[in-house]
Amino acid sequence: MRTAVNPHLTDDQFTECMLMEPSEASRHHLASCELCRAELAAFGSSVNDFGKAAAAWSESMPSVSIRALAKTNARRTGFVTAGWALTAAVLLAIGLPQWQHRRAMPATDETAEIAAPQDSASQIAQDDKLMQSVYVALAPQDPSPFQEYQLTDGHSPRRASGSRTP
Amino acid sequence: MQIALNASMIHLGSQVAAISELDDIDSLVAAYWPRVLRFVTFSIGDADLAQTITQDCFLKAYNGRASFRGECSVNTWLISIANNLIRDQVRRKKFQFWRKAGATSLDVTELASFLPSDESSAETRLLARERTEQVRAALNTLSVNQRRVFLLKFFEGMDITDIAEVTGMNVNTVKTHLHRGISTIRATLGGKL
Repeated sequence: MRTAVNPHLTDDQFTECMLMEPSEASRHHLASCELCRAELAAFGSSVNDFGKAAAAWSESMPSVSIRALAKTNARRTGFVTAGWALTAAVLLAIGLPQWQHRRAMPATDETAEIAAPQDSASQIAQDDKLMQSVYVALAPQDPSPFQEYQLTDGHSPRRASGSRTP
Repeated sequence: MQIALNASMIHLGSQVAAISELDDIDSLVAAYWPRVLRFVTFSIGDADLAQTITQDCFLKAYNGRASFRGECSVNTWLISIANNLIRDQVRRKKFQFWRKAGATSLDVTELASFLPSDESSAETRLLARERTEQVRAALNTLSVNQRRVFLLKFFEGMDITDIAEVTGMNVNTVKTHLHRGISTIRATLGGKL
């Protein structure tokens, strides 16, 4: 596109020419503008030369043996895995006896309390019966303090009536 | 039906060929190392880091060769792995990356000396060397993304759709980066001659 302000290819047109087929206007301008044709050619050859030089430079650089690197990495991964396995084995060796020890300990009060509600109804009835028989067995041998010291109950009707009669 | 079968057999055949190519790591390195190293080096501007990233790229490709589906060329696949590694590197260690890049930036001031000496005259060779250095200097002023896109276009010869796929950018972003890169280099080379 030729305009009075910019008689040559704009950046948009230049980019378009480098990336894809130029538009009709750009093609028309290039047909008549030697400078823009030369600029496009110079750009292309400069980038191409740079690419060639970079390729030659990268080919001159030594490559590493990826096979050796892969083996080293595999060995390192093996060491890491072995390390984790060893750590797990040590933890197991310490933790397992602890766990077995805790498991073998007799039930504490706390566990008894927790276990109590789980007794069956018949067990509870049997326990009640036993407790009752113990109470009955103990009751006669436990005289009342009034009987033991031959006291009378101040609130008994016999004492109250006796004190009021002359 | 027959055409579809033939097409799938051709695709399978190329996939098998590519996988067997990937199995031979030494041949893979011999064939593609310079191209991948060139792309990575001039994308990040740090030769040491580029060497490490290129190593990682080939290791990843070798370890993940079973996942290669043969939908693109081996070169494109390797470049896309390298591209992801560059992106990860920039994201992960942005600050350290730029500090390191500034400290050990690519020392290829004599890059132009690698130009094949098949030019017709001394004057033409001198001009080519000068312009090569100008392109390199202009590339260094671009962002990593602009550089990556520019190199994929002009080093690897990819079209815009392929660049968008490899970089994970959308097509318009790729076009914008290319426009910026071309305009910068055009200005460095002297604009209107």
